[in-house]
Amino acid sequence: MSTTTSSQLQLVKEKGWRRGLGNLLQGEYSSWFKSSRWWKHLLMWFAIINGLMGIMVIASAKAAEEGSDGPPILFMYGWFGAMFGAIGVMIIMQRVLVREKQQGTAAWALSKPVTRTAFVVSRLVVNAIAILLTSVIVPGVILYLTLGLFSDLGWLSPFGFMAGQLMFLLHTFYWIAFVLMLGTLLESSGGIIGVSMVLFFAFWYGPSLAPPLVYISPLMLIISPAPDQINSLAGSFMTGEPVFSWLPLISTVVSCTVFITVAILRFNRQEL
Amino acid sequence: MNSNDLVINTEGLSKSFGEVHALKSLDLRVPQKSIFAFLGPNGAGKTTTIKLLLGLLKPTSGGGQILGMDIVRDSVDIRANIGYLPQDARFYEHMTARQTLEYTAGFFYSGPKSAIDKRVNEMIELVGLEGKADRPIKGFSGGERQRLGIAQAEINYPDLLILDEPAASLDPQGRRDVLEVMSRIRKYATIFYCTHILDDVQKVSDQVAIVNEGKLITQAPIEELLTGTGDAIYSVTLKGDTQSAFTRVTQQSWVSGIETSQNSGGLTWQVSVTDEAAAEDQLMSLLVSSGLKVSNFSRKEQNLEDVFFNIIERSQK
Repeated sequence: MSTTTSSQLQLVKEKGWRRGLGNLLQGEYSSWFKSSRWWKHLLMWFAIINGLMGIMVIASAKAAEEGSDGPPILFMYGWFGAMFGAIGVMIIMQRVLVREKQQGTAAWALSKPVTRTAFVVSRLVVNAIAILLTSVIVPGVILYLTLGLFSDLGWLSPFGFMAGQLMFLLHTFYWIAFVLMLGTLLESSGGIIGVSMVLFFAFWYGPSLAPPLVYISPLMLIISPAPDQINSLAGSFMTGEPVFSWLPLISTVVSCTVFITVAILRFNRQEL
Repeated sequence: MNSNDLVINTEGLSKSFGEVHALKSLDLRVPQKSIFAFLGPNGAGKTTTIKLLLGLLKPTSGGGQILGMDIVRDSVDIRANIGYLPQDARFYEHMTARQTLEYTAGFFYSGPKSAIDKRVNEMIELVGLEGKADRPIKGFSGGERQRLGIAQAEINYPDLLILDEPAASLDPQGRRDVLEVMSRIRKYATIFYCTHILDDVQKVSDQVAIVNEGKLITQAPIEELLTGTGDAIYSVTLKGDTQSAFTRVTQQSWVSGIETSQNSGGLTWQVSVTDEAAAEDQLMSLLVSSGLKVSNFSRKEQNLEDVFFNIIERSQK
């Protein structure tokens, strides 16, 4: 067998902060989508979101038969999305950087011609795509069909529903970015989960103690600040009602930007 | 030595972690196409040095060049030209050995696929993993991981290979294989490696540096270190009353010390001398004329282990 010479191989052409990004993305992508991981997650989210929403739809139909009020289906969707979405992301994402730092695979990957920025971006992009796809997009599509076929709500406006889904995506992305940032600041999974939980419950219970919190809380994208009176942003988009405030949306986008910036800056200074 | 002939050249390279000074002003010169052993006890600063060279840590002060590039400013370019095997190599467990090598190659090459596949196969052959290339790494033994580690480090035709304890945790067969692979690679690349297995160093290395407590104690070609700048040692086994002979021998200007030990064959002295010619001429006659029977007289061959421990002990005094 003749040996390969380096001249037969084309060198990677990425420059600047993108050095190594393509290969890192491919590697991370294969860890999700070239293994059983993605469909296991999909099944889990289907069971949680669509299973629970299926129960809500059945309960609503039964209540209608009995002439009483059923559970508020879209409100419950927001509630499940906020609770399980945030906690699910914390569990999945807490391992992303910390485990790689602890096991030495981060140091190994960074011994190759890659930038630290590319490393963080690859972990963010692929995990975000995988989590958003399995926990929001696919369950959302199934829910849309379920509501149209089996619930009193009927076929919601597809554009309104998609706009509502965007709020679910943004809410989930908020937690992805936050937990990723914590992965660069802390060295233990327990610490990451603990801090994330504190923030989550501060947003969950905080508005009853400090009402202005509703304007900066990412939860308000998908759960109502005052059930029966005000809709969440997602609920407003889905039902065509006016939104109560754009501030939660602006605040969430700004927060995500800050989290990602801090994660990149911090990881660039981190010693491995 | 011209600085252009140096693959690694550090000046005053230092690293502190809070109050702990892990590396103190290291001046290291690694010549091209050498197998350079970087030795020291645990915690001496070996892995810290490697991490500084790779840009995984930032120096507290000082700096250095690899292949003429600055270790801080040009770190990514440096990493495009070197290969690295970490201590206790860990890779992504969901990948097979072949996938790991393909993934590693992807950091350097974008194609063509056929040439990358060919290079991956060459590396699998180089380290003898043909039968296991398509098995997940999860089930690999320590030795197999280490071989894979060498293969991934070599995949980009590096000018410099940095190996952190390449033969640690391997059985004798695994160690022999790793040393053989290193010997094969030396034709193409400089190898800088740290280890605590001194036997291996003597077999394959041509340059040695010893660090202790973060400081470079010595750096020299291995032959120079073995022939020594230190004292020669003569081993003599004696029978009879040694007291007066001991006094006479220790009074000689060329004798720097005597260590005694009792064994079944008699009393053994390890006589350290500063002048070998004088020892050859006079030591035996001094002993015989003192009425002693000499059943063994030999010059003790220094091995790297003796040299290493002597140097470490002296550096601690």
